[in-house]
Amino acid sequence: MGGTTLLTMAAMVLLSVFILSSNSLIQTNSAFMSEGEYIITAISAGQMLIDEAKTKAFDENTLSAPVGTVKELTSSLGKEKDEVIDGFDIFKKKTFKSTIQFDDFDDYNGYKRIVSTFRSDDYSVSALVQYVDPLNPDKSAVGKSFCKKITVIVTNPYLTVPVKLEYAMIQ
Amino acid sequence: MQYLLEITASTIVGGMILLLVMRMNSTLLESATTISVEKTVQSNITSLIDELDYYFKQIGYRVKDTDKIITAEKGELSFLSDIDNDGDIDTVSYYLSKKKILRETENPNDKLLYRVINSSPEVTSNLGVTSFELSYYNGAGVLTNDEEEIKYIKYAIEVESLFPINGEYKGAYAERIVRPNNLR
Repeated sequence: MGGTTLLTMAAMVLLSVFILSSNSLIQTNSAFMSEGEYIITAISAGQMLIDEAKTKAFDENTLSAPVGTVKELTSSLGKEKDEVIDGFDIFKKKTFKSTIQFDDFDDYNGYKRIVSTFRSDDYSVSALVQYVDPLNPDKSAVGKSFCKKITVIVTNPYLTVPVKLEYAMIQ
Repeated sequence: MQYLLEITASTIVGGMILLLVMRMNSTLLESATTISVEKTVQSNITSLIDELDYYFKQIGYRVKDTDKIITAEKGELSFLSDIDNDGDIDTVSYYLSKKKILRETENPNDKLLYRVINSSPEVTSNLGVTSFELSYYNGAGVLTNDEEEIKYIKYAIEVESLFPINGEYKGAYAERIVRPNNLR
């Protein structure tokens, strides 16, 4: 094998490496930008749930008037017996069941809904509500407090990482 | 003869490499265009959400009359608010153009989203809005069209690119609920 052949082979290898890495870069950039569209819709779906929860009372016991002590707040967070939503809530007749049935913020604890859009696959939105420290909402409260935090997780087959949104509500 | 063969083979291989590089360059350009268009669409929809949230949250600001919303339709919302904080109540309207008026764009579905304050000229810009739908809810969360009953507003907006990339219009979709303080 002559020197020229060796040089040619080395050049071909270098060219292949360059093309492969460029191709990988293009693919990654395209996927990243396409995911942006799904992230925007996912944030919108999650924010919708938070916006809806914000329209409700702080607690089942504060529907008519605020309470003076934390002891008067409900101990178990979640929907009441008369609020029946089995499995995933689905958008029907231009509304979700939660919009009408739920009356307080913590009813959304354990709640799940499917948000369908015509641009991409269905989004699965789930929520968790917990009592948190009013001075530090990132920290769970010991017992009850006048601050509740909702954590909303949105997933979609096209999202590599679920979108997580949080909102803390005080009485 | 040997030299002739070598020159022919080199020309063929060189030509193939040149084609490869040209193809890669074209792919790079296409990818850059796609990314740029997607970024524009995503930027447009987030700007629109910011704007709509800003204006809708001010519905009824400083309005003493109970009728704070004048028109509540699927494609149009008109409301009263002291939008410029000058003490005078303004009438603000949002609506989508009814038909295709953007003849210079390739997208057959893009329309203009108008904002009109009082009797001033329509304010708009072509951000590629293809759909803008409004829904209105009362305090119990039930759908209503009665302007006096409305407590919160849901809007759904879709934005698409003005021209197709590989035959496809890049787009983004978002929905939001706005609960103006002055409708509570």
